[in-house]
Amino acid sequence: MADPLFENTGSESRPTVAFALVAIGLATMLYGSYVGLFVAPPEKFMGEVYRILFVHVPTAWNALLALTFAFASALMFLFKGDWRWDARLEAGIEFGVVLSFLLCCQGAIWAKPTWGVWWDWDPRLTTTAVLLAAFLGILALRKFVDDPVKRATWSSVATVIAYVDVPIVYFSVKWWNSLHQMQSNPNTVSPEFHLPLRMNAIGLLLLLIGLITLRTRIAKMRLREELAPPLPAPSAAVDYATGGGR
Amino acid sequence: MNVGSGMIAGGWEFVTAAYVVTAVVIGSYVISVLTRFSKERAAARRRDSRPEVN
Repeated sequence: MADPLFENTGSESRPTVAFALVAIGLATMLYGSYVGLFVAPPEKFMGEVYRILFVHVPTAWNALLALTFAFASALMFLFKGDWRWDARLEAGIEFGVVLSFLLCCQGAIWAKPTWGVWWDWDPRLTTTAVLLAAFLGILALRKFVDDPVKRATWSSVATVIAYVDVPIVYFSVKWWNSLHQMQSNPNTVSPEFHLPLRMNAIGLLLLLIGLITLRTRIAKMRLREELAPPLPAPSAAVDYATGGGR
Repeated sequence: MNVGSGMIAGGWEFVTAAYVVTAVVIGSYVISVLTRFSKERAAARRRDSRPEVN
């Protein structure tokens, strides 16, 4: 078939690189978590609790990255009308939602010992909750719309609109008076903490690439089934095969 | 958990909870994607083996 949507989705092709990225990503995260939990020293003020940051910060980076990928895919679909971008959009949103949910859970666990509450309607937390709800809504929209054209177009437009919240999440700690700390950089983080933070960030990034690749393939296979012309009825098939019926 | 002398004391239960939640959420999603991929590929294999009718 000439349509690129139908390439590399058949039963014969095996995404070895994607599987390898998932495995390497998981192994890297395991090592980074080991260093973060057992090798890195306690922090001067936060003691042991700061170790949550070794998983929380990489989750935040990669959640925003996955949603940025979804945003780019939505724009590409709207401009080019290529179904492959719709499949990538679905994959990006789904992993972005999973990571955003995880981010909120980790944030709540972090907030309790440091702020004294599980949740606060602070600008960073509130905008992140809005982000999660918006993209969860887009996933629900995709689930309930049967027409592939309407589903792809509506979810692409909704993604572009929802993505407006991503820079708001990022800059919320600078724009408003927030309980949440400001962004750190390598100069404001002790060198002993660089390794676990980077290992987990790189591991999660590899996992993101591998999982989005696999999830895109799933979406492509489903689209291929949806967009394929229906098979003729069995009786008509017999007629065509025998040359009769016309 | 106690707070005193400028450093949060204890807190390992929160650290453990955060890492367990991370492992459960990411692990579940990895298993979910691999399972769905395997099922869709099996379905694609069945579709590919159907005789074509022109």
